[in-house]
Amino acid sequence: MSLREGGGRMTAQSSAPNPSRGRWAWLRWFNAERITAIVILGVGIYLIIGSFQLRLFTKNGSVGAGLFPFIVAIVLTGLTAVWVGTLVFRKRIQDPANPLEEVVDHALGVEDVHDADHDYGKAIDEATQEAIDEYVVDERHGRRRLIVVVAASIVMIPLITYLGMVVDLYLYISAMLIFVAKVKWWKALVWTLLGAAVLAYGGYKLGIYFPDPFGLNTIMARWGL
Amino acid sequence: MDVWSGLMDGFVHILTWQNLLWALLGCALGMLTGVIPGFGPAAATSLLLPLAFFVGPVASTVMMAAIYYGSMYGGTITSVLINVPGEVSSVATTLDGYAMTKNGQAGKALAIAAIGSFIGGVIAFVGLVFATNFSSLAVGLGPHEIFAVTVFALSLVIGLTGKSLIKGLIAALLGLFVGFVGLDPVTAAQRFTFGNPNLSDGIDFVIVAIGLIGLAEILESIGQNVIMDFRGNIGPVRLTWNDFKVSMGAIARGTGIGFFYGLLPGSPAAAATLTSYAVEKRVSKHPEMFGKGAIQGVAGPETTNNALGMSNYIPLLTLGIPSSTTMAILLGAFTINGLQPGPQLFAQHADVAWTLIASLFVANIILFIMSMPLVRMWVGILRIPTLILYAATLGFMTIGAFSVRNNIVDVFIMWIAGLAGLLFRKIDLPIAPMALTLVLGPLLEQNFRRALTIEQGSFLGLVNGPVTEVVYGALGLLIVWRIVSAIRTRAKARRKAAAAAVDAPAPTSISV
Repeated sequence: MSLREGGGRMTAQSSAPNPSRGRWAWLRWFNAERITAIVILGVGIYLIIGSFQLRLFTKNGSVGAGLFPFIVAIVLTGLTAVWVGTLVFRKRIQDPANPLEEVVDHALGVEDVHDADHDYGKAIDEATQEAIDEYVVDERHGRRRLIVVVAASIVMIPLITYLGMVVDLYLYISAMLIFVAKVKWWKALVWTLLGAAVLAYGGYKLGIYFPDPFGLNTIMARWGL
Repeated sequence: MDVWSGLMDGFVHILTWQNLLWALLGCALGMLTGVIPGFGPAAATSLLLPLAFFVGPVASTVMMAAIYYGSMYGGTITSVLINVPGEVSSVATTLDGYAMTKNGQAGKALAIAAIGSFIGGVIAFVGLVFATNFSSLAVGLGPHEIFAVTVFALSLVIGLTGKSLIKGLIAALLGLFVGFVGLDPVTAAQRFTFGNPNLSDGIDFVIVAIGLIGLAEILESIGQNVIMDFRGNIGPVRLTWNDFKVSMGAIARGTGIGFFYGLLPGSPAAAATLTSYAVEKRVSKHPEMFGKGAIQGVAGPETTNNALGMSNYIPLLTLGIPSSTTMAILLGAFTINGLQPGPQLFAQHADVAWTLIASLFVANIILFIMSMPLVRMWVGILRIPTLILYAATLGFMTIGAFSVRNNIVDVFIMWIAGLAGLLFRKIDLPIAPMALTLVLGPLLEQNFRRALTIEQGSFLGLVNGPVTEVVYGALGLLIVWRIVSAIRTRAKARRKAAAAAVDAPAPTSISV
């Protein structure tokens, strides 16, 4: 369950240059939801064109490869256009007194439960708020950490071809433990080595003969790494 | 094959040491992943789905069923101990489960959850066995009817997922789009591959499921900087006779509620468990104790959750329609091994179908044995810092994604799906419809094309016969009902906003 407060309605309020003023003001219109809606609209249009190129019906009149995608694309584009329309023209009013209630209701789909005056709706809010107070430490710090994890993964994937799966994952998980989980470097290296040896090498490679890629280094490759 | 002999046959298959070992391993792995904070059954089963490639059809269905059960109880542990439900259906458990932990009664809460789950699972199992009779009714369905029923079931699921119907539909259509990528099965034309040979074989459901559900869950938790490890003591894991007596009614009612909700495709599990919680509070002589550690508040929802998990198999096995994300993933595990759940499964692979059903019973027993005496071991996992668990899981996911087709590109696709899943969570685009259409897309298109070919391209011919007429009629009513209820909800919200504006003259914030 999501413990986010504000549930996707939080938008970037400041950046340099300040988009709220002057010629950059229009940038404020773009948030994650609007950009996604526009991208999906583009996907829908691409699908329509692609489906036409695939042909809706074959020359002998039977169903072509593009017919079903075409129908899907038409509906997808239409619905996304409606979504974009609502994002452009609708002003969403939020009650700041209880934003959490809305998030929890949304996650659960229990709006009707609240309507029925069951007071356990309030209990859920309190329990969730308690969890947020207790566990969500610092969201900004978390976001920075997320960027580090994603960046490290982008580097890790192509390196599999050069280092081999076992060595690459050993380095990746060690780095995650040292830089993200803040585990002492020697502990991280030793524990990851044990994990890689037992699970990745012993379990996968020797246990179920998993054909993971070897590294380009011939000596390592000889050892199955 | 009649029900009784089929079931006995299933038990004969499952009660071999190999299959029991797979069930045991599945339960252990499910609990291990389910106990990772924030990981529910959907994320846990998606993470472990690649294992289905390495074992045969029987072993993989047995193991996946055990993983499902194990992960459900793993989610219960986190709900009770650290107030973090693995998925929304466990929220009701947190209300009194966590309160019991704060009162030093965590062991008692976990014990009643295990007992309730076991009893609910066994009773629902009996219902599941008898419900398999209905599969024979669906054997005669042709492509027209299968297409209509699939569309109807998908509409139910999509309609009841999330707040926005439009977003649910868009998510479902995006899932279909992902399924189009690759070679067309009839004409062998390249569809939406962008000329990339790596996409010619299509995008595997497993890869997208791991990314969209499992990886996105981890990334979201990392992004929130959520630190959730348990340092307390769970206390004795046993019940007094009085605890048991007080909970029996809740367990009985929870079983009924869970079984009934599980029959309806698309009924949200959270609604079932919250209904159970509400019922227990209503019938209790001490409703004021709810939220402060009432044992019935744990027994009812947990029993409901397990009974629902069992009866969720009924639409899957009789009609081939998954009623939740987890069921869609389990359906994916079937298709990996060339099996198609639904009426034909009993006709063509009766041994697998009955072994699966028997394995649900066996998994229930194994889970009960593993959860009661070994609960301290699983709680021990919660003492490991969450970020260390996440780092190890990321490594495991990478191996899992690669193992599907031994292709690095699949690891990239998993990460793209993971980031997309994270974005979709941020903007409230529901994942469940996408997971369903990813699995059901090929079946939907196949039957659509067959039906249209039979009707020589006439779309009106798709509504051909009494079954399709009834199904499309029901679909029409569903759409009308959904529109009317949306209008009513919006009108109610407007009235509420107007009333709030009158009560509080201070301006409310407007998000743009």
